[in-house]
This record gives sequence, C-alpha cells and structure tokens, in this order.
Amino acid sequence: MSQLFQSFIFKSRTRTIFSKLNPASVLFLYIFLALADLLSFNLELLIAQTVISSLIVMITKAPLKFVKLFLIIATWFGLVLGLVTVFFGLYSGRIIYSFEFAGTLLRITSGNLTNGFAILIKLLNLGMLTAFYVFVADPRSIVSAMETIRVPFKFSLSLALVFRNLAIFAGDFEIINQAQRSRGLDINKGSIFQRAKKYVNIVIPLVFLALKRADDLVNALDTKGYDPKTGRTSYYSYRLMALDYAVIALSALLVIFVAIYTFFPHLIGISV
Amino acid sequence: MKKIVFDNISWRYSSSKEWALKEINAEIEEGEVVLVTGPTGAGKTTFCRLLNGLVPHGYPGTLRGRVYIDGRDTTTIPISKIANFVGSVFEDPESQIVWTNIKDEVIFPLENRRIQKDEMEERISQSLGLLGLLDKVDKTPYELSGGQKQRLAIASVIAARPSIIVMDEPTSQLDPVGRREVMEAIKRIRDEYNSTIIIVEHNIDALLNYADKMILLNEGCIVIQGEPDAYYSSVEDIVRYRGPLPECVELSYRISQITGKKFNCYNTDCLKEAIEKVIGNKVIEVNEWDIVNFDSKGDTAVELRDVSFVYADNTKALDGVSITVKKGEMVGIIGVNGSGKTTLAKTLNGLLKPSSGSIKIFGKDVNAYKQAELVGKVGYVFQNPIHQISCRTVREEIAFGMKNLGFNEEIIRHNVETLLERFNLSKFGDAHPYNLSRADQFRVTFASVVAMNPDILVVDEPTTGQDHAQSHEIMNFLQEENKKGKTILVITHHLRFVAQYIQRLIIMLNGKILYDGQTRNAFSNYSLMRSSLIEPPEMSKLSYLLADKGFHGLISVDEFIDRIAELATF
Repeated sequence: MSQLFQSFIFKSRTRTIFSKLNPASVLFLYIFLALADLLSFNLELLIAQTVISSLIVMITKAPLKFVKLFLIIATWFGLVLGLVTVFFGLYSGRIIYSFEFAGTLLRITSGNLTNGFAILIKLLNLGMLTAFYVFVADPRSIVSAMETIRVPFKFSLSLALVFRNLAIFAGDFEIINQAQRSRGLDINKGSIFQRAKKYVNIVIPLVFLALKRADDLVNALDTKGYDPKTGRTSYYSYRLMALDYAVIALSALLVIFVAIYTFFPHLIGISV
Repeated sequence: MKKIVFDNISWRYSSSKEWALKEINAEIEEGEVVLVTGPTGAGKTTFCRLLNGLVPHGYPGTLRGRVYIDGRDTTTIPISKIANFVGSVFEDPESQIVWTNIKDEVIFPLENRRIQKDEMEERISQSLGLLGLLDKVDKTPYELSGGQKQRLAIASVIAARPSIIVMDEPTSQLDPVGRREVMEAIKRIRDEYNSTIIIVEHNIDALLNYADKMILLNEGCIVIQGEPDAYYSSVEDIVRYRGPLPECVELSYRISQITGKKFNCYNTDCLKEAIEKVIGNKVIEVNEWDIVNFDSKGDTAVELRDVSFVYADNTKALDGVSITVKKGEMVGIIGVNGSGKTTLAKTLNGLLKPSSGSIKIFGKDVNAYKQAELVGKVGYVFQNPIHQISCRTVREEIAFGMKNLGFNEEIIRHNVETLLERFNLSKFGDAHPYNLSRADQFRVTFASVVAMNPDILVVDEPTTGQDHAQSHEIMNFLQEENKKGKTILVITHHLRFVAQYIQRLIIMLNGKILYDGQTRNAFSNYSLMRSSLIEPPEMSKLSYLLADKGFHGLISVDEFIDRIAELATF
C-alpha cells in the first residue's frame, strides 16, 4: 500500500481541467469543500456534497486504486467515530436499544444512528476530497498556491515538505516492517499489549530514520542556499484569472450555504 | 592564490569524545579534481562538511584552525552564503532531492540566489543538457534511475555555478551503470567549467583517470597526499592505512615488484602496454580454466518456477523467473537497479508473495511454511542496517531474532557471545547500536540474522558503505559460512568481489534472468555484459584487451600475476 501511495505522490501529475487553474484556487476549492463537509451535519446535505466530490474526482481521472487508498483510511476513522457516536452519543430520538455499560445506562437512539452514519459519510467525503487534492497538487503547486495568497515561503515550503516526507515515511514503514518480520517478529500475534510492545520494534527504527532523513534534508536545504531570513526570486508567477475567481466564489458560496443551512436554517425558510 | 586552504584544522562533534579531524593541512588549486579517500570513520564526510560550511555551522562541536576559500575564512560565513560558491552532492540521491519535479529541483537553488527568470531558463537548459537530462524535464525524480537521480542532484548544483563542487560518496549507492553516468558527468563538468571538484569515495577505480590530487585520511589525519603518481608510489603505506587499492594500481604495483621495473598504471590501456612490454612476443598457449560443474545432484535448497511479481502500482518486478539453487551453493545475483534482485530475495522468505509461479524451499512450497519456520530457514540481511535495528544494546539486537523464534535462553546467551567475538563486536556488546558506524551496524544486523542459524542466507548489498578491508572481511565470512554448508545468495553491485569470491552468477534485467552460470564465463562475455548493462570488473576489461595474448578469461589480479610471472622476459 505504501508503495502505491509513494508512486502517486512522486509521479508526474496528469493534466486535467484543474491544471488550468491557479494552484491557489485549487487549494481554496479543497479547503472550502472540506470546510463545508466539516460544517455539515445533515445527512442529505452530506450525501449531496459526496456526490459533488465524487464528480470532481471523476473529472481528475484519478485511478481507482489511489482513491480507494484514501477511502480505506477514511472508512476506518469513520467507522470508529461513527460507532462511538452510535453507542455513546447523546442525540435525541426514538430509543432503539438500551444497555448497561460500566454501571451507566446507554441508549442507542435514532439520532445516534443518523449522526453516526453522517460521521461515516463526512469522513468518506473528506477522504475523497483529500484524494482529489493529493492527486492534482504536487508539493511545488502547494507552495505556489500559498505564495499567491502571500503566505511566507518558509511556511509553504514546510507544508510541501510534509507531503514529500509522508510518502518517504510510508515507504520506510513498509521496509522496516519487512525487516522485522524477516527476524521472526509477528505483530499480528499475541494480546493487544503484546502487539503494542512489538510495534515498538517498528516505531524505533522509523523514528530514527525520520530524524536522519530530516537532518539530511536540512543539510540539503542549507547547501542549496536556502535561508528563511533572506529574500528569494520565484520562477513561477501566477495571477488569478476569471475562472479562478469563479471556482473560489462558487466553493465559498457552498460553505456559506452549508453554514446557514446548519446553524441558521430559519434564514432560508427551513425548519429543523 | 590557493583556491582552498585547510590551515591546521581540527574538529570534534559535541556528541563524541574523539576528534573527527586532527590538524589537517592541505592546499587545493583552482580547477583541480581532488579524490579524498580512506577507511570508514576516517573523517571523510567531516572533510566535506568543512568545505560546504555544515561544519561548524550546522553541527555543534569544537573547532580549531581555519578553512579558507579564495582567501575567505568560511568558518565565519553562514552556510547559505557559502552555498554561493560551494555546491554539494551527497551520498543518497533521494535524501538531497527536495522537490517532486525535475525542473523545480534545478530552479530551487537559483531562486535562493535571487536569479531572475530569464537567466533561470538559460541555466536550466544548460545544466540539464550537460547532464543529459533535458528530455526528462517533465518527469519526477521518482521516475528516474539511481544514476539519473544523482545526475539531477549534480545538475541542480552546477546550475548555480559554484566554483567548487563537493561530492560525498556520489556513487556508493549506485549500480555500475549509475556509477558510470556520474563519472561521465564529472568529466563533462571538469571539461566544460573550470570547477574545483572534491570527491570523497571508497570505490575509486573509475575516478583515478580524472584525479589531479589524492588525499588519504585515516583516523582523522591526512596520512598521504599528492599527485596520483606520487600517491601510488607508497602502496605499502596505502595498504597499512586501509586505503582502497584499485585493481589496476594493484596489478601495476605487483608487476613492478616481479619485474623490478616501475609501472604507474591507473587504467587498463596503460596496463595492456605494460604487460606487452613485460611479456614481449610471448602468448599463453594453453588457457584451460577449471570448469566448475554446479552440482546437479544434492538437495535443492531453493527452487523457483516461472515466478512473476507485480507491485501495486503495476510495476512488473519479476517476469517468469526460474532458478534452482542446490544446498551449499554460493550464488551472486547482479543487475542494474530495478532489475528485480531485491524483489526476488524478498519472495524467498515470504516477505512478498509472488503474483504467479511457485517457490519451494527445501522442496516445500513457501506458502506451506509458517512465517516463523520460514525465517528460520531463510535469513535475509537487509541492505540498510537502520531498517532492522530496534534494541537498546548490541547484545539485545543479536538476540532479537532468536527470541522471536523461541530459542532457549541458554542457547541465546551462548550464540550472542560467540557471534560478538566472531564479528569483532565484543567491545560494543553493551553499546547502543545507533552509536556505531554504519559498517559496524551492518555487522550487528548480519550477526542477528546468522544467530537464527538459517540454512539459507540472503544478503542484500553487503559491501555498500563498507571500506575495502571491511568488504573483504564480510565476503570472507560469507565464504566461511558457505564452507560450513550454508547456502548463500549475495546481491551486489561490487563486481570485483563477485569475481574474487563467487563462482556461480545470476544476472537479472527487467525482472528476467539474463544469465545463470559460471562467473568467469559471464565476465568474459563482452556482449553479455553490454546487453545486461553491466560494467565488467577492470581485470575482465584487461583480459578482453589482451585476448590475442591468450589472457582471455582472467578475472582477478592474482590470475594475471601468475600468467605474467610465467611469461615475463626479465
């Protein structure tokens, strides 16, 4: 899986309609759609947003294998948070089932179920949006996007390097896991405590390697003349065009609509 | 004025009690190519860091003395300013590449130097053109081979046009093709610009023709320095200080010894002339080599039948591979990066499951083994020891695998102590493995796999990062284990050691087996070497050149000396 992730992070980006946009508007599109997703708690609205995200992903022609990778991670998080909400949530609604847990009476209500499901959809949508952004934006376009909106280079560079390092980190994890398996370490065997202890044998070399890689990277940046305190020129100069403004405005409108729908529904004549 | 002056410089890292460099005095002229070499831990990397400013500015420690570049004391100039006149290329091409786009990688140092866009365009095409990467401009570094990545790192350095280029083991992680690409790049830079180039390397064979000056470091001191002729006039001292001795130099020195005439040869052309002078018109009449019959009887240790492996991103790493290895064989596996060597090795102990085909270990399908049982049969030593080390002491690290496999406490204790002694690690028994040098770390991880007493040992690049003497130690150890009956598979790029230690060779290319047979026959087959993209060892190249004299098929210095001694006209 890590090899797949690495190959997509480091591969040449496919040219799509989003390549024609200023990287800043692609970043805004991602941020606004993700924000709308986080603000939304209505199941129908979330499903509609997920349909929009799916269409965007389809336009990018991102390979299914790649999108699946993000959806698997999102599903795991979504299931955990969703189940916590179902069993321990305090949402009102029809009581479907009640049980005692650690001396406390817990109720699974229709509200818990709806919200638990909404969380799962929310995470899946977020996974889809992240797959879209990672697929279209390489580290340099993240920097360019942030330069357009006047974020200091040292911050945008740091963010771009997080992307690069995540992919390398994923590859290192895979190799270390194999190296320990080849010495008989079986992390799937034993109690939870024993398994956690075994993970230490993967985490230690991973952290050491990450620190070494960080040191190498700092040396590379230094010797390439990078100094955050001094100015620099930029090869890329992007201007926001009409299409960029349209994309930013539309995605911002979506956030406003979701915020009103969620927090001030009466303003648009909806009763919740 | 001298370009670079090391004025009585000493440096100690704050994390160490030992001085990494001691009272270094050296002078380098403008436009010189200087080759710095020495055993592991000699202070070579610190030497580079003093030039690019990482020492003293990037690491805490104690400095004595001064380094002057064009008369400026670099110990008082920040690294980002030093970068205006010193460019650096590091060992690992991936760790120094910052961006995921080739053009961006070249642009980055130019932006840092506040170069304007028009000039950037010109420099991008010039530097990528010089390094032969112009047609790759739209690719990402991930899509390049190891040699191409290192050429990209060099292109990014030369685009900024520094007057000095420092390269810290630029070819040590590359396959022979990558190594040759980088060598050619260095030659082009030397011819095109008048850059002063300082190269730190263990593997100096191919660089000798370009060096104007040689420096040998040992335990932080410069022990020999001078022009190549003067440097190689003291071969005994080079060996004593554990400096690398290229095969051509070694042969040239030994010919001088047996003939009493002085020969200073660094390349095969010069050696050909020298040998022709020594043997006159004589020709080797009968050249019968021991024909090695790989035992077709005996137990089969490894059997692969039509094995293919496809990674998740659809890369076909193995394509219909069939191999049989008998118990007690020692087999070398070579091939350019990406040819499938490591993937093949990982399928043997179940780390990767083949997409199709079957793998049998001692006649039993790998899938029929439990993981613990399989790793007890097939021990795999990874290339980078950092991927394996996870314990607090060397003792615990060696015991790690045995504990996982459920060895008895007493056996664990006994094996650990025996291996500490055998691998010359006794003094490090209670030390943290991370505090050891890379060469020592490799021996620790090696010992931890050997401790599990596997019948088959698969060793991935055992000589990478090791100096010449250490490489011989490791190969000798593998040979000893092989004599005890263990089946050994060695993946390596260092063909000199293959020629010396391994009789059966497998050559891979694009996931397929291109050759499986006697090492001598492979290295003697020029068209096979070309089609497998492999640069044969220097002695094989020399044997091609002297084929009409009957030297065809020789692959080691010893074999040449034996024949020359028979034919020499004294």
